[in-house]
Amino acid sequence: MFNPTRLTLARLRLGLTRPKLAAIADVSLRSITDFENNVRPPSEDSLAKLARSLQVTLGFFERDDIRPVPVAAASFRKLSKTTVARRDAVLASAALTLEFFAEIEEHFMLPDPSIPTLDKLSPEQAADLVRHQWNLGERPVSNMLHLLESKGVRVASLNQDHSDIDAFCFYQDAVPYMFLNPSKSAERQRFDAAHELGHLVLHSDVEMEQATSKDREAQANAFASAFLMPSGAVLGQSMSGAGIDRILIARSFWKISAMAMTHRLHELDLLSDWQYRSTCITLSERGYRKAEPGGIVPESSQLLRKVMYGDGSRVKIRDVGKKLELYPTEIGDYVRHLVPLSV
Amino acid sequence: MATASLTPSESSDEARLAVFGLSSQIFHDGLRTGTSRAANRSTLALTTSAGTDVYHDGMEDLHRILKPLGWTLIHVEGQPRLRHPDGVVSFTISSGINVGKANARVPRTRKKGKATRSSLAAPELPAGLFDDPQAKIAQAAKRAPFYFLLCERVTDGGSGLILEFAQPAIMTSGGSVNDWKDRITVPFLALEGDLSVFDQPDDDNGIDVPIEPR
Repeated sequence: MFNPTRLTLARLRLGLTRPKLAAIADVSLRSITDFENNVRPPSEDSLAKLARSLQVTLGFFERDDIRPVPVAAASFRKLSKTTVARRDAVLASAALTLEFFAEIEEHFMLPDPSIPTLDKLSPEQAADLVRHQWNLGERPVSNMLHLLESKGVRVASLNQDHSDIDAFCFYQDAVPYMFLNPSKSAERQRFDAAHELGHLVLHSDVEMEQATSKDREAQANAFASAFLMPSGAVLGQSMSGAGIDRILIARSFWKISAMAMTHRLHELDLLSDWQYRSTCITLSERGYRKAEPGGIVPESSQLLRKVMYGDGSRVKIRDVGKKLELYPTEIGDYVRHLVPLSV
Repeated sequence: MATASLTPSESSDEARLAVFGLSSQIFHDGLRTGTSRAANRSTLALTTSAGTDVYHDGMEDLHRILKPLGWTLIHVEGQPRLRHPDGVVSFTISSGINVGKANARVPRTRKKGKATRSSLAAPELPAGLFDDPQAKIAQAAKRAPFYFLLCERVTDGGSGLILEFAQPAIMTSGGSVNDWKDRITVPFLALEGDLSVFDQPDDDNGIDVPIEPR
């Protein structure tokens, strides 16, 4: 039986308005509105046209109810710069990604979520406490992605069409989900992952209202900075007034971007305002603002590698696509660059 | 007053330090902690903190290194000095400007006190004049040629210390030393070059993500 929520979600995930879909699918706007509002079901012909335009199989429209992840639940970086259509597209795709992880969980027991909620602490205090609770000491986090996965976070890729969105996360049924943008440098992705962890730790009980978005983002940034570069260790590395060469060595040690390292040194008063500005200018001139020359290899997902390529029963993209009534390429997009793919 | 060789070859500097039972390696090892602590001060620290770090940690660490070799820490009119077991030399750490400079520029210390002044004009008193053992030690220290381990911090273009081991000749009326009987250059103590703090730990800290098939 036709499920109107599926039509709405399929449309939103491609960033289409109803008039746009009407034009693409050659179905009247009135009809699409009726279908989505459950006034009447589409004819077989209309459904075929819509399925083709929305890149889903016919069976997709018969599956259970589905709704985009509520915007109030998700942390968005640069929320103000993200258009509503793009944000809705990402949240609609996220809802489908949850179905992908549900499919994985049918075959595998995944780590239980164990992210502490520390909303009464400052970002720096929270970062130190999480490091302590997770026995990380004051060493660099060897792999942020593996760390998050081991703590029960389900990590997926953001569709690369949404390059203006860095990352976002949310809780669904007490399970934390995180979406990272694989088009960013490895160092940026690590910082984004730590930033989103900051949201999970500090803001899991907070409505993500736009009015307080700036404060939350600043707090998550402070958390990420302190989590990836603990002050106690950085203060013991002779970084006062550090030159570019030493900053680059330090950023490789902490596996962080040179810009983030420089910002951290300024934050810890190890670089004066003038030193900070001149270092940023030099790094920018050398191309470190948009990229990370000499950077690290991007981190990949251990969880997905194990469930897709490990011993025993495996989750195959093609099989999941059939089950979820989606094209395999779309399923591949959920995990692209997190694990090797052949689709 | 004539100054001694300022730019002798590195090997002859080391040989001259060796006469005192010292070496540039000893100075570097003794000063590294304090210099590093000074370099880790934030911009919120007092301007004098860095110098205090070098002085206090340096004296402590040099004492730690030299004590097993028979050196003693003595106080001459309140000024702590490290004294060679045979009284060949005694020295203390002092900050200075123009350290290691050649040509017309010579090092200049900040204002020094009575201890330095009396060392520069130490009377040759016969031994046994004093019954007080501490006074004897202090007097012996006065007789040992007195040197400064001169340090000048560098923070731009490579953090570290410019060093010299120099024997003061004359104090100005204002109390600073700017004339030297002997100057021995000691290689620059470079902190930028010390990258050991960035060594990745050898142990495997890989993170396992436990997955179980149902």
